[in-house]
Amino acid sequence: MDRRKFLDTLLWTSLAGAAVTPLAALPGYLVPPEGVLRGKRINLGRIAPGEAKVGNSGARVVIAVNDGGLRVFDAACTHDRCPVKWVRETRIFRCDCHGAEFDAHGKVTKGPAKEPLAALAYSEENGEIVVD
Amino acid sequence: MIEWLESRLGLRSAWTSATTRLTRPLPAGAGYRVTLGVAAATILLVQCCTGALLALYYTPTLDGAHDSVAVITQELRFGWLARSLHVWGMHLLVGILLLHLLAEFVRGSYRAPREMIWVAGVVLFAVIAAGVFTGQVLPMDQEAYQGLKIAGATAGPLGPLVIGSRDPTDATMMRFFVAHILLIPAAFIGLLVLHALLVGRHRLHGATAETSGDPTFLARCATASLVTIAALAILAFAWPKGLEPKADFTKSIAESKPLWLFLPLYQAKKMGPVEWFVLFGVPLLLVALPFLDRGQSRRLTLIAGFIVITAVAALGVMGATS
Amino acid sequence: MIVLIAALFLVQERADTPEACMKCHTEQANELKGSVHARETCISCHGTDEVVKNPRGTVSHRHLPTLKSWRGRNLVEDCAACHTGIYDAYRVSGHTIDTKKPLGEMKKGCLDCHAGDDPELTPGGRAHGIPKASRGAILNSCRGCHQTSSADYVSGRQLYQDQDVLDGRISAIEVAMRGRGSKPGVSVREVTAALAGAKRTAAELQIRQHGLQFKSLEELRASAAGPLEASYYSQSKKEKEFEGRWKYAVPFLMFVGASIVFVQLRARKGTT
Repeated sequence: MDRRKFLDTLLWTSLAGAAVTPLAALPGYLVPPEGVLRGKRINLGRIAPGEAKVGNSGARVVIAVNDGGLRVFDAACTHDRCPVKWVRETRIFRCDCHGAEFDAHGKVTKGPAKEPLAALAYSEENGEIVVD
Repeated sequence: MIEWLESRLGLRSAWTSATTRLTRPLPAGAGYRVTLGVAAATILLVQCCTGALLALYYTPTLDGAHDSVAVITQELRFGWLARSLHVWGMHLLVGILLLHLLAEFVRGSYRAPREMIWVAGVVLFAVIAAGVFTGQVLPMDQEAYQGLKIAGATAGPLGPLVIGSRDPTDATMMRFFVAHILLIPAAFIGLLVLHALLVGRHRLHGATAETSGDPTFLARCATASLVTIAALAILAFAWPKGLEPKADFTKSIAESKPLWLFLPLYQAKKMGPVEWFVLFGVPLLLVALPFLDRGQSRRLTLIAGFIVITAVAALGVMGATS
Repeated sequence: MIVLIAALFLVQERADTPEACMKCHTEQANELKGSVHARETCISCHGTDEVVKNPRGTVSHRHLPTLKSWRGRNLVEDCAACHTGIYDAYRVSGHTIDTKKPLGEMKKGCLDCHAGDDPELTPGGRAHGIPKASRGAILNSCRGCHQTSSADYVSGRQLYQDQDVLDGRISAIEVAMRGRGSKPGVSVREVTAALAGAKRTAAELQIRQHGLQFKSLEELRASAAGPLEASYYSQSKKEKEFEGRWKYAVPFLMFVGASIVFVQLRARKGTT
C-alpha cells in the first residue's frame, strides 16, 4: 500500500472514530431512565373503606383500593397495559381487554397476565393519598 | 456490491468531481480566511443535529417550556451536552459569521460577478439572526420572556403577527418554535445551497490558474471544519450551560440585557432615530454594497465600511455598559 | 318599670372585646401578651360575657359558672378546641386518665408540661403565660414521675435528640442545596422531594409525639431521615460524576485531532 492509501485509511478511520463516539451516547439520550419523563403527582383524595379510586397523570393510570388496608397499584394490566377496574362485589381487579383478573393484593388469579400488578409507594398529605 | 451501488447512485464519481473542484488553486496568500464560511456551515450542521435532539423533548407551551428544558439540562443522559453544544454553537456561529462578513468585505469578494453571493450571504445572516432570536425565546426564562415582549413591541404594527394576541399564549410559543425548527432552517438551507453553488460556479475571488494551493482548499476546509467541531466540544464540556430562573409572568420584567448580537439594536432603541439606522439603514447598506462599490479604488468603500462597523460596535459597547 | 329597665342598661356592660376585659384583668392580659399565645385574645378561649355592676360597687360576671376555659374546668379539652391533632395524639399517651376530673387531679394535663415553673405567674397565669414549649421544661416535668433511668424517660429523651438531629439536617441540607438547583447535568428532584417529605414528617412528629408511642414515632422519624440522607448522598455522587465528564470528551477529541493531522499530512504528501 503506498503512502497515499495508507494516509487515506488512517484518515477515514479516525474520522469514523470521531463520528462513532457521539453516536454511542445517542441511545442513552433517546431512551431516558425510568421516572424522568413522569408527569405530575396524582392526588387521589380520601378513599373510604371499601372504596376504590382511579387517578391519572396523562397516560399513567393508578388505582387505589381501601380493602382492609390501603393499597395503590399501577393500573396497567401486566399483559398489555390496559387499565384495570376494581370489581367491588368479588373484590378483584379485572382487565376488560383480555379478561385478566388480579386479587385485592395484585396477584394474578386469572387471564393472560403473568406478573402481579405493580404496587406503588404513596404519601398521605392532609388525609389525601398522593402518588409521585 | 460497491459497483452495483456505483452504477445506480454514482456516488464515487460525484465525490471525485466534488473533490476535484475543491482542490483547485487558491488565491495567493489566502490563508484560512477563506475557510470561515465552511466553519460556519459546519456549526450550522451541528446546530441542526443538536437542535433535533433538543426538539425531541421540548414542549412549546408557556408553562411547560422551562420545565422541559430543565429535564433536558439536568435529567436526560447527555442532555446537558446537547444543550451546551447548541448554545455555544449559537455564540460561535454568530461570531464566525461576523468575521466571515468582515473578511469577505475586506477582500472585496462581493464585486462582479459575485454580487449575488454577497447578497445571498447577507440575507443568510439575517435569517440566522432571526433563528437566534426565535431560539432564545424558547426556554421561557426571564430573559426569554423579556425578549418576547420586546419583539412584540419592536414589531410595531406587525406585533399581532409575531405574538398572535395581546399577551403571549401557548400559540405564541408554538409559532416561535415552528419558525425556529422549520421555517428558518428551510430558508437557510435553501440560501446556503445557493450561496455555496454560486461560490463553486465563480470560484474564490482572486484565484487564478497560476496560483497553486498547497495544501489544497479541500484540506483547508476539512481542517477548519474539524477545528471548529473540536472547539465547540471543548467549550461545551468546559462551560456547560445551566438553568436560568423560570419566567415569572406575574412580575414586571427586570431590565436585563439581550444577547450580545442584539446589543447595538438595544442601545439604538434608546436613541430615537438611530434605531431606524441600525434596523434598516445598516442592512440596506450591506445588501446594496456590491452595487454601490463599482469603482476602481476601494479605498472609499473600506473607509466607509470601517466607520459603519465602528459605529455599530460602539453602540454595542454602550449597550453592554449602560 | 321603665326606670328599672333603664337602670339595668346602665349597670350592665357587654364584655365582648379584649379591651373591655383588660379594664379589670390587666395582669392576665399582660401575661397573655408575653406568652406563645400573644396573637390570641381573651375572647379566643373565654368567649364573651356580660359584666354587672353590683350596688356595692363591685362587678361580677353574669355567666361565670358556664364561662369557657374557667378554673375548675378541664383545661385539656379547652386546649383541644384549637390543638385538635395534638389532642387526638395525646389521648393514646396513657397520661390522660379520667379527663372528666378537674385540673390537678388528672395524671398529666397540657399545663403540666407546657406551663413552665415560673413562680411569678398568678394562679391563672400558668394558663395565660404559656411560654414556647421548651424541651428542658418538659423533661423536667417527666422527671416528676419517671426515673431518669427508666425506659420511658430514656426513650423520650432519645426521641428529642433524634428530632433535633433531623431538624438540624433539614436546615443544613436546605442551605447546602442553595444554588445547586440550576446546575447542568445533575437533577435536584430527589433531594427536593426528600426535603419536602422530611419537613412534613417533622411537623407531624411535633404533633404525634404527644402520644408518647416511642417505637412508632422512631419509625416515623426514620422513614423521613433515611431517604433524606440517602438522597443527599446520591446528590453529591451525581455531582462528582458530572465533574468527571471530560472522560467522554477525550476519545472524541483525540479522534478529531488525529483527523486534522492526517488531513494535513495527506494534503502535503499526495495529490487527489
